[in-house]
Amino acid sequence: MTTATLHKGRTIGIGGWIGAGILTVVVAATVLAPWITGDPLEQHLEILLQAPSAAHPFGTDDLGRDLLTRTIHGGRTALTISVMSAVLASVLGLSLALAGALFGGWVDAISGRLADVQLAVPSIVLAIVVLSFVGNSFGPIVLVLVLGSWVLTFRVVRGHARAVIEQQYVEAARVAGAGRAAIAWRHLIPSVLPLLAVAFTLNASYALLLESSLGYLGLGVQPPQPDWGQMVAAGQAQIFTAPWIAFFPGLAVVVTSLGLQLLGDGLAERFTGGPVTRRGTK
Amino acid sequence: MASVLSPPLPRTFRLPVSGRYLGGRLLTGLVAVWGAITLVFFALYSTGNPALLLVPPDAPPDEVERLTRVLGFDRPIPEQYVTFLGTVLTGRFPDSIRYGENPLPIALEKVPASLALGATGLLIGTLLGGLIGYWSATARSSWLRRGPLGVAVAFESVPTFFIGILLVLVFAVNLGWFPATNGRGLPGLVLPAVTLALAFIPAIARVFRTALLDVLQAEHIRTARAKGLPHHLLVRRHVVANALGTTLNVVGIQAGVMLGGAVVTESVFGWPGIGQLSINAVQNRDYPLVIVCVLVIAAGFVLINLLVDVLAALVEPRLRS
Amino acid sequence: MTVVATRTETVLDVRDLRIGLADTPIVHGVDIRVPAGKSVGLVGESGSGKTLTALAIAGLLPPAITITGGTVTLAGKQLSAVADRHTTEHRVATIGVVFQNPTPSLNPRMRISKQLHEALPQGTGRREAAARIAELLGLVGITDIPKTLHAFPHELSGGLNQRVVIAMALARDPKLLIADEPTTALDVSVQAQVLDLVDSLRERLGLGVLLVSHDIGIIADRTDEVHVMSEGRIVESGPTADVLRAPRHAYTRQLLSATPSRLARVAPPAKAAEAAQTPQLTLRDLRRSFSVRGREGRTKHVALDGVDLTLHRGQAIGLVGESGSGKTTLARIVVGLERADSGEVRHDGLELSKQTREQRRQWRRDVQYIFQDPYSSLDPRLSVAQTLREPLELNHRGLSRAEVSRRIDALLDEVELPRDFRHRHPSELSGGQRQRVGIARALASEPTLVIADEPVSALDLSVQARILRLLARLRAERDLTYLFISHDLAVVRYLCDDVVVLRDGRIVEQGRTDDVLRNPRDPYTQTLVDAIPGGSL
Repeated sequence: MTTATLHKGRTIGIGGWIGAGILTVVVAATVLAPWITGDPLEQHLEILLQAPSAAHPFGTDDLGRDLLTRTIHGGRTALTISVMSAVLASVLGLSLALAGALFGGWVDAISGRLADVQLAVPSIVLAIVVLSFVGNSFGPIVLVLVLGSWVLTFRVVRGHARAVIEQQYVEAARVAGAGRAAIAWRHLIPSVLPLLAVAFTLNASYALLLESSLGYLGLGVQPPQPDWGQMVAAGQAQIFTAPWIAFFPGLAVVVTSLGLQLLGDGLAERFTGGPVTRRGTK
Repeated sequence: MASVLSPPLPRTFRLPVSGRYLGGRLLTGLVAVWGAITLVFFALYSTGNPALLLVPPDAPPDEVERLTRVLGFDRPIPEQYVTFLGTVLTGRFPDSIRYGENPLPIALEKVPASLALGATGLLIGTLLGGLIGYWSATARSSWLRRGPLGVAVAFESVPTFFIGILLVLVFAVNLGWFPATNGRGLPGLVLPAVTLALAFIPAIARVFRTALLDVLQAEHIRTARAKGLPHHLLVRRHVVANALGTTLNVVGIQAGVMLGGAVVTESVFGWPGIGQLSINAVQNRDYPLVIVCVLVIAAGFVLINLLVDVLAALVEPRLRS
Repeated sequence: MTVVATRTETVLDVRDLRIGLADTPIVHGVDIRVPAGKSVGLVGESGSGKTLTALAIAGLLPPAITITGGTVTLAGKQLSAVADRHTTEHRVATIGVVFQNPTPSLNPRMRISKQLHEALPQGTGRREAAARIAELLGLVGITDIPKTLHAFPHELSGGLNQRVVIAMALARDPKLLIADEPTTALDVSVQAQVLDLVDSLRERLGLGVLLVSHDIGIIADRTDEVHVMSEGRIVESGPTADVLRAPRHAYTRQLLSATPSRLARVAPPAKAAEAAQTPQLTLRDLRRSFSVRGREGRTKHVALDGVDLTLHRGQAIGLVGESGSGKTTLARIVVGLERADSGEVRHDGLELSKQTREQRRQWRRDVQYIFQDPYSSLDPRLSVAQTLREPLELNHRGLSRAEVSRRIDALLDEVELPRDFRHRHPSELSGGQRQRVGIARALASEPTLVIADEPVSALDLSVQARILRLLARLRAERDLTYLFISHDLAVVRYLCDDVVVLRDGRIVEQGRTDDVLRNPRDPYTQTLVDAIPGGSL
């Protein structure tokens, strides 16, 4: 893949539309949560551990809290953190990749080295260190997710930006009198933008998976504020008696992540004519 | 590799991988370990007085003061840093709060269990992932090309802990075949190992597929076809062998993600390994133990990467020179 | 070809061969006969179907493309259309194939010895194999046999790898050698050696050779019979000498007239002679080296080793050399895409590093560049008009929109492209059309000096001829000074008054083009001149 030309007539495909649909529903539900559901912390001691029913489609937990309400509210935490992390990670990855490609030399060397450092420190180690010593509030969690995932965008954009910068048309622009800014503005950024959309969805999906894992391990936001990963961990204690407590929040993570990946693949098909390099692929 | 000429070249003992390459990788690894140590140091320092974290919460103030002095937390930062490096090198860490003894042996004791789980999971995952990738690139039946890969890729959207939960729901809760948590021995190993395998089958399948497709396009495959090699030899010697190098490299890059998966898996199943120990240590606020766990994990990670690099160089001569 | 040629056994007889991709026919019925000990050429431009024809005979078509009709008779045995085991065995035993790119044609992670062993007939014993491999390598003229055997392909040069590929092709004592553009990827001097080797093997072993090439010079020198192919059909066949002397088909005539050595030269513009006194570009002791990561760690590769050169106003100088001679580095330094380590570049008497801002801007306009690859030199997302607008906007600030648009039209006229091409994107243009856009882009800045780096080497012969004519015309009309880089002496002879021969970063010979070509003094120039294919044209 050397150039991300717009392939005319290509759409994001059925998968892409399904992904977009899933995301619309999930995002709408979480944004509108205060208006369409009750209080996630409200306890009803008369309906402890009830299996899914018409009144409580996802059932209730050991404090009699409605799990559908809690799952929807859990999405607020999970999505806010993931999306914010993905935005920051994409911006960081994009800036470093573009700077490296445009300036070359030591700028490129340093940004490449930073990516190596990220690979050398596994996210889980970073998470344990930062979240146990610094504390697991919103800021540090976002920091861990950004540090753990910016390389995704970086690698996708960098590979492409380097390929573009080595193209003869960029040299032709230099000969035509274009400076760095003109090259970035006229050639590099327009060619990278579609790819950024793809990288962002993958980044968000990865951030969501990481965020829920942190929540599950007890390193994420602390109870009683509901969060998908943390809810699964809480439900695991009752897995023999009330398996739905762990099941539905986990399902929510899977569905959202699937939506992001489907949309990402669809966008990749639309913009680059094939699935873009994914997690870990060079 | 035996040359067809006899005698081929004066036979001298040669390392399969050049010392220069190995040395370079080892150096990178040491830098990574040093980075992890430094990260821990600064995280510790950023909390204010680290001594407060290293003693039990109910410790009297003079105990805190004693430790502050002994560990040098009242000294300037560079000096503290050197002291900390010394602590790590000599292995004399402050006592674990929970166990009341040096945390290093406690952590090392858990390593074999983690290795057993990791090796089993890696074996299952590599075999299955490789097979799925191979089918998806070469199978004639379009069902075999798309089906298994599609399923594998869908698993990329399932967080590792939830894979574990689902397996527990089906095989422990409903079928009762395997223990749900705290299992020992072979039956206890099955679900965690499968969870770990499922966590990286998609990546391996996808990367191997891409590598195979790349090689199948290469011009030297046409040359090999022109030689009239039997199909199985062509595939084994020229296609699969040439795809291994790229695949291993990507597996190396993925190692960090897999490590995360391993820690999560141990937590889900209460597997008595270093991952579960470290998470418990965090939850118990046993900071001396957390530090040791992190360093042991980081060192293990470096060793895994080194191993992958050596393997990649073995199958890919261009990396060696 | 005297002794063996008396046997007139036919090794390959192709009748009405048809090839198609799904339902689209690509090759529409081709007849080729190759006698033992003879060399038969298949010549045509890209897309003519010549390579597919060769691959079809060898049974190496890509999976999606199939033989849809006709017969292939190989050493007296007709092959079935469906590749069963017997057909494959017969093919493998009878045909040896040599490909275009030698190094990628070898497995990068296998030593040469093992790859050669594989090429021997199935079940050859180890001792027997060793003797046979040594014999084969000797046959293809490889001297350091143990070292070659122990090497990986990336450790050998392209020319050496091509010899290995030929040895592999000969491993099963074939009767037919199919060579698909066997020298296109090699340097000129190496080309001649490889073709000499194929010739001598043909004579010694009585091989039938099917030589596929786009280069009519090579076909003229190396084949007894020729088939000219265009758009999936053979348009003319016959003894090579006859066909080339008296072509009957219009396409053959067109192909021949497009051959660089046959292009009618235009007289240099009259003004050039009088202006030739003013130096426009002066290079003094230009040096540049790169550090390269190789097998022995980092080494220094010297690209330019002290080059002095003067270009006068209106002059056209050809810069000739093989890959690695430093010619591209020189051009890139002159145009400012790279910096020299030391030495000076003076343009209009001003040293590049000491220009003021305004002088620098003027120099940017004055010196323009035409790139080699018409595919990567245009931004795929920009229309032709947008591409041409870039230099107009950057170099002539303050032009009104209408004026920019008018100039784009004028530029398109000048490079003989229809005006409505301004809305097209590069993917909608052919290689020659793209190169015209590239030329128009260079002209947009109103340059006085144009540096062209192999501007026609990626193009088909007939397109190449038209672009060369365009360049000659523009030079006359615009009083341009040319620095023209090429590996092809015939192209240089057509366009340039003077020639400079570069080798390993040094100028080994310079002078009037005709003098140098007729009477080269430096031995290296001599090799280059001798290696020009088409001496028998």
